[in-house]
Amino acid sequence: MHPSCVNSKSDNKNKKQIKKNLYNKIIQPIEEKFKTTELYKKADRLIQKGRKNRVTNTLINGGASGLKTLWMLGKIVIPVQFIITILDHASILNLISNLFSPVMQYLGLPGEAAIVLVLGNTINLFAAMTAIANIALTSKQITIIAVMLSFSHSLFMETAVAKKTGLSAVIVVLIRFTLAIISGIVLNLVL
Amino acid sequence: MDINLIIKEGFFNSIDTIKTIAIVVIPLMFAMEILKELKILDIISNIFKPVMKFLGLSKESSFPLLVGLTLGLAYGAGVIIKSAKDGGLSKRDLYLLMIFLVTCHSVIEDTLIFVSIGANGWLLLGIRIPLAVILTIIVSKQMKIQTNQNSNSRLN
Repeated sequence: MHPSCVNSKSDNKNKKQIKKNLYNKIIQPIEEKFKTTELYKKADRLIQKGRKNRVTNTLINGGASGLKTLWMLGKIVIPVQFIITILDHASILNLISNLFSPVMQYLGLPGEAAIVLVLGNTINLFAAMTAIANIALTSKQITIIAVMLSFSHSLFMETAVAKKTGLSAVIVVLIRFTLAIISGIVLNLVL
Repeated sequence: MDINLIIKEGFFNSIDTIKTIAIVVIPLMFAMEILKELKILDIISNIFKPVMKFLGLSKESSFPLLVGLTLGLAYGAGVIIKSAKDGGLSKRDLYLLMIFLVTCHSVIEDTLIFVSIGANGWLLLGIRIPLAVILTIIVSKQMKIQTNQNSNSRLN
């Protein structure tokens, strides 16, 4: 094994250890303290009671997944928004736009839309939505982006899911990409 | 570069984006929970059973297909793997179902998210679902031809 490999592995282990230490020292005491408060006990009792009823159980499940979604959204939207804002202020966004506009014109999109497509394909639709909010687009362009992204998005995660059922990753990505690009080009001509 | 401006802009734009997405997604979460709890998909999948033949699929695949279409790819794949293990789905069904679902899944959520920023939702659905159907039919026809050729060569 290459020495650098060993190094990176032990680095990873160290990072995990540090994370664990931080959790044990800072987050766990706060959590335990919070669990002894009257508010937590009340909420816990309410949830336990609600679990027994079918209707309230569904509401609790929906609320929990709603909160999880909000947390997940924050984790993606805020970093992406800050990176795009910095790129914009450093006028790198213009550079990217000029670089990609010759290719993107076949899809009827401005050059910046390349960022939207890349973010949507690598991370997920929410990251793409964040980028869309920063770019001036007509409704035709938004529809083209929507169709293209709906065919191919979050490729890493969804290809991994598809692979679990036995499909080959190459076929999945190929199908989705070709559908996205063809539909983009055709929509640009038709709309 | 004005750092204050960047922080302000980044923060407020993030909140705006989170708001537009959350308004669509969180009510949908509740709707999905109700869908799961009342087992509405079981009822609808019975209606869709005859249509499955058109796609070259068996009747049993209507439930996993609907789950994938409404609740998402991960959920659909889970149901598909489970019913393949139970013996409800053949290998051919599994392959075709995944080809369909990989191009067309969680249609409600995706469509509503894009509609919220001004895309044409009907056009989006009207392109996505028919293209996925056509693709599945082509692949299923191709698979039939291949299996026929295999059996013919065996006979010869």
